[in-house]
Amino acid sequence: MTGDNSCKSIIKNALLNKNPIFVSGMVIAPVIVLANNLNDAITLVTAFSLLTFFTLLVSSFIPKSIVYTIRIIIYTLIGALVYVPLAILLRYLMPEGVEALGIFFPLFITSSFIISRSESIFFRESKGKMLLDIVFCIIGYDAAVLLFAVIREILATGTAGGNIIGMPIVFSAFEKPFGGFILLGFIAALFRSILLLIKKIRNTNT
Amino acid sequence: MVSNKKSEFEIMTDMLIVLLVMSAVAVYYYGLRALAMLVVTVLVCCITDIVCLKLRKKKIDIKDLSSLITGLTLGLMMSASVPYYAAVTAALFATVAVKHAFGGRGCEIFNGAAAGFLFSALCFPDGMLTYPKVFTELPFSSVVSADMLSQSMTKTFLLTGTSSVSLIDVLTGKFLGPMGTGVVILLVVAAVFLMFRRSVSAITFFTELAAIGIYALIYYDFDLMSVLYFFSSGMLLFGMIFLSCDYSVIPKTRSSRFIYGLVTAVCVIIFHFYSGTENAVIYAVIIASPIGIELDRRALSFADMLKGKRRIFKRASKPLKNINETLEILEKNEQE
Repeated sequence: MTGDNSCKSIIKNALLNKNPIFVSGMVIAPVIVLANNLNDAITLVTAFSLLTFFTLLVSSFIPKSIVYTIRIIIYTLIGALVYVPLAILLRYLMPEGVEALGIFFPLFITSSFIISRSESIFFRESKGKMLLDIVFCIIGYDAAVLLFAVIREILATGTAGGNIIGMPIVFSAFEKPFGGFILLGFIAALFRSILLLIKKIRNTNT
Repeated sequence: MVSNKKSEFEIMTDMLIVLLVMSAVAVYYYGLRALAMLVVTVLVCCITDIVCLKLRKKKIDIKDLSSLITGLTLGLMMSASVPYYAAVTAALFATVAVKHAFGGRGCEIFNGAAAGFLFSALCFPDGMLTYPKVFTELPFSSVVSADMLSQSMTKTFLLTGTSSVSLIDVLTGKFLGPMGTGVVILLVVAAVFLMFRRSVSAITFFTELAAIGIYALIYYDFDLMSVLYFFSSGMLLFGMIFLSCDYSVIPKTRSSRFIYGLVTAVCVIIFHFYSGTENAVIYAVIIASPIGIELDRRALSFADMLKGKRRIFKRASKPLKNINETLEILEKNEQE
């Protein structure tokens, strides 16, 4: 968070300036492995968003007086408690998708995202702003994952959401984790360059 | 840098001369399509390099021949029938993702040509790993008919353990395979020339040659012809000279070069023994390159440590005049 903590600034930071994927590089392992296409990405972001939101929401009630080490353990416990009903629900709604998530779904409980968001804002901001930050950080993460998955799917298979779009050449290496990693790196670099360019243009205008 | 005495430009010039000779042979064997392929890879590497340098606001160095070398190496590693887009993809990947993403010339942790080839082979396996016969008239179109293509001699040799290619054809590179990596006679001359000119590391090369040679002798029951097939196929000899001894990724110290050569050889052996993959040397080079860089770091810190100890030892061995001098030396040592 920057010094400016207005709602607009919180939203802008969560979506752009400190985007969890493209700028902060948080929780990228499941994205690289699983977000091969739009359908898989939708399952991934659904599972991640629900688990993270409810874990953070419940975790926000933990008092500051509890020491850091214990707080972290409690966050994980809350995450595990949220995971159980959520896994049952998602297995009912999207069984194949949840199956594809594999080990990464339960691992979301211990994601760096939960720790970083909870520890950086819980004890400095009001409940309202905290909720706003969580919601927009999750939206920023989801948007980045979906954008990445769409680009990856187009490049790797020549389809978008399963529909053939007639790409003349497809690069199947992007389907593999190493290809996904490289692609994510390049998209993140491009994203940062665009942000810098916008900042530069604004500075010259002012 | 392989040798401290030689400039990077001189090393690159030597490499370029050898690669140009090998390119000429490739053009003689596969005609104008091979030439077109080499031109495409070189042009893409050079243009992308210039664009990346401009984007990074770096100065363009005319003496930097690395893009030419990467382009030619990449071209020679490919089948003469590879679709042009596969060659372009490999060249783009080698320059953008391997060279400039890591900070440009001298900062690469992988050999550009090896990584580019591997990426393209993973993207277009059908086009990259099927080969036309030598002296076949290939069309200029991007995609060559599958009827004109067959699997490589390497693949046949790996599957059956034998090959029908004659000794002369093996030595002159007249077998199904990449367009410029199989001419054994030329590769031997190139290796001798480059080692004589100190443009590739003899230590690394001979370590690899010895380790892989011993393995091949044991694996093929001391059948020398099979050992020759083994070395000439799968770009092994070519990879040992141009990829694993590449000046941009090879370690600086002698001991590191020896270990690096050994690691590369072990990787080649493992890939050959357990996976039976074609072009095992490329995978081995990709894995061994970062290890080489780490070896350099360790060797330098070890050398620094030794230097420090020697200095202390020299000072301590001098006859001391009085207690004040002793205290001074101890203070200096502590400060250091």
